[in-house]
Amino acid sequence: MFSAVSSAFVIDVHSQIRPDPNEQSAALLRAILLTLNQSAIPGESPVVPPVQKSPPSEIVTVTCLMYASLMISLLAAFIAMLGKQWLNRYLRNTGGSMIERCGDRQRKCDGLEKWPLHLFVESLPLMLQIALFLLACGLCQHMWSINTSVAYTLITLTGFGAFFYLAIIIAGTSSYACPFQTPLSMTLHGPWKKLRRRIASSILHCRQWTYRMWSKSIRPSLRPQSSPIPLGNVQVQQLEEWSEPKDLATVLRINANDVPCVSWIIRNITDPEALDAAIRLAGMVRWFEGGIDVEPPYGMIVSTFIACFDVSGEVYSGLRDRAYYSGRAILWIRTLATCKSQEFAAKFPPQARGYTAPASDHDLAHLLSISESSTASSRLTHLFKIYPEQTISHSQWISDVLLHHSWANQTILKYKFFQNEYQGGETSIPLDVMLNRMLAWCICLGSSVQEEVLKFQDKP
Amino acid sequence: MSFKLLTQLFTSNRLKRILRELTKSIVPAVVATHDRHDLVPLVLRDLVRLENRPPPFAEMAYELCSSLCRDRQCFEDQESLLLLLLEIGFRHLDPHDWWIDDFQLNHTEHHRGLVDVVFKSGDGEAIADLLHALTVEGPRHDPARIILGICTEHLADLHSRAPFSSRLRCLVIRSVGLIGYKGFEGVGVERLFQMLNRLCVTSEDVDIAFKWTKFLLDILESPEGIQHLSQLYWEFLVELAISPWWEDNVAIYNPQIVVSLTEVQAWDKLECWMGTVWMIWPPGVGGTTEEDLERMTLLLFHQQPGAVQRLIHWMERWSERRHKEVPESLKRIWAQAREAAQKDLL
Repeated sequence: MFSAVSSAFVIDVHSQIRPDPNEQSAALLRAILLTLNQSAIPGESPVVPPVQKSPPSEIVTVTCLMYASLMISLLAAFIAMLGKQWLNRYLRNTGGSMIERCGDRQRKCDGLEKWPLHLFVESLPLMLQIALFLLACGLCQHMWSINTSVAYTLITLTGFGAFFYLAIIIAGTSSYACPFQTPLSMTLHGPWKKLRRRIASSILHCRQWTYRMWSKSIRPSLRPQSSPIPLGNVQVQQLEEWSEPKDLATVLRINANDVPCVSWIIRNITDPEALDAAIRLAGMVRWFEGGIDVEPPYGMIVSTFIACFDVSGEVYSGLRDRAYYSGRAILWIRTLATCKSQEFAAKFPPQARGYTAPASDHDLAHLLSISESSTASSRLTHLFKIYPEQTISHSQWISDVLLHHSWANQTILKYKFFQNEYQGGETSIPLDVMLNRMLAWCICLGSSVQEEVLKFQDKP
Repeated sequence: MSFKLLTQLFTSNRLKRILRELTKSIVPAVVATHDRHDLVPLVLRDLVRLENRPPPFAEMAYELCSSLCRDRQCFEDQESLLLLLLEIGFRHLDPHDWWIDDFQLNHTEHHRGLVDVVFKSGDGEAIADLLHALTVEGPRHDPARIILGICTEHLADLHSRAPFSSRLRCLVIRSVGLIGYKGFEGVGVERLFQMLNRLCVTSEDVDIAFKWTKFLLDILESPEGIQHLSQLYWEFLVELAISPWWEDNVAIYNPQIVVSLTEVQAWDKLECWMGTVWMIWPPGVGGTTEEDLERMTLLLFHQQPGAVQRLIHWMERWSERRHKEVPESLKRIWAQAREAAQKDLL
């Protein structure tokens, strides 16, 4: 279609690139007439018109632009047809067994990855954009020689289009999430990211250098102290300066999509495997981190949990994992909600009680005992328990809950009750679990551990 | 809610930061009037359960011990807390690791208070924890010699108070070596030798050979030492002289020892001593003369003919391990002794 449109303009300009024989004949006849009768046209003398050898340069330029536009659009059409042919071959069924067909399909798929077919496909819109730009330039120049008023209109509209295109390239390059992506912006995205990092690094170095110079030469008294500092009754050595503190904002940004993704899958997807995976993640993602606007599909998770048990409260065979992970999600959501406030946590009531786990399933039994605890102190007691039969992943996850629970309930916990209930054990504890327990103990002892400690969580 | 960034906890030193946070929490809580005072033993018992506790735990535990010893009136159950802290810090460590790079133990005057509490508990493992804390060395700290010095009374009677596990024995041996003979002068010769006879130290038990060499040579400087030191330790002295860790110039030659041994006709001990002398003070070193050594050696061989073979065996091992030549004069004496023995046989 685009070729047809540009052809109309090409035909018009094409006629101007060759000398017009009629015009030449008329000039010669005019010269003959004036030679024969000099008074035929008053004020004119007989002059033989020069032979026109080449068209005007602006006509040549316009013709070049328009023909280039036409050829590029035709080339785009050609590649599009070839691409369709290539994709037809990919879709063609070669026959044979399912394994053979899968193997053939995989080989073709690998070939698509190895040979850059996507470059050809992505070049089509780019070629059409170039063709359109050339056509617009040609038209502008052509019209400039005919009528400047019309030319101004064309130039203004072309400029507006070019400016718009440039703007969407910049927007697409600066943000990966921007929907106005073009092939050019996607190409520029990588180099721009590197450049931005380098600029940020340079700015940071400048700031560090300025700070060092300032602290050394101007305010030496403000330099960090490295001598021992008193800590209550203990003399402790101050640790070295903070080295490369991890950027909490980066961690939060990485985690930002987790909650909406998991929430969307649980609400909209019916595929059991996807649902199980999402429920599993629901017990790990950091709900309410960006505020309390995105509410978790708590009701659906509770329903899933209840559906895993029969009327007598025993878990159906084959649904153990779903019961365990939905139970984890429920406990996790409730704990994180409590971190926000007790009032907000009231929106997530505990699930019905009376469920039992098989005797051999210590993780699920432990989870149920925590969930069914009526008070914060007894829940804390259960969270502190570690049995030798528990899996390490369960212990690690429980220690995360323990940390959040003790932080969230520090003002209402009855430690006397907890102390009476608590029973240590002999089970050895891995370091990762112990670090969380130690922070929980700090909170229990009255230390003011900040909320960011709880928020921080490295992605595996 | 406070949203201040606790950047410290996000660094690579997360463990150290958390331990610091825990120390800061425990210090005020151990006071009996603190409303969560009762949680402290629970916390400490929980920490004991951590498998393979890294070195910062020992540093934290030792610092807390200092704090508890300083304000001992404030605490109800100071003894059990101290024993728990020592367990957290040192129970999991290998007793043979006397040098640990990652440690930085700050010995304070308040740690003296640990000595009475721990030794009176009669808990052998707790005593071993304390001895480990006091004897361990590293690039950033030395053993707590002053505090070890006040352990001597307890160490002298330890065999009657607590059963000697292999761990405790190893740490007691190291402690005795570090304290030295002069440190034990106050406890009395009899108690010292009782302790030594119970310990039965051999060259395989000693981490720091230099300290024990000095210890034994200092004992031999006293007449009681020559008399009471058991044969086991004379042989131990020979083994130390053979070992490649022997340091020259550790002591000067004392001719009085030979005289004393000859007077009491302690030929087995003289045999060990002559072996040591030939290895450490060959003729011309430390004021020894070839004539004296030759005379005493021949006397020994005359009284104790079996000493020839043992002396040859020791000197060959010494030559091999220390890469030194057996003195020519000694070889000559061996030859004479062999000839005399053959004549006697004929």
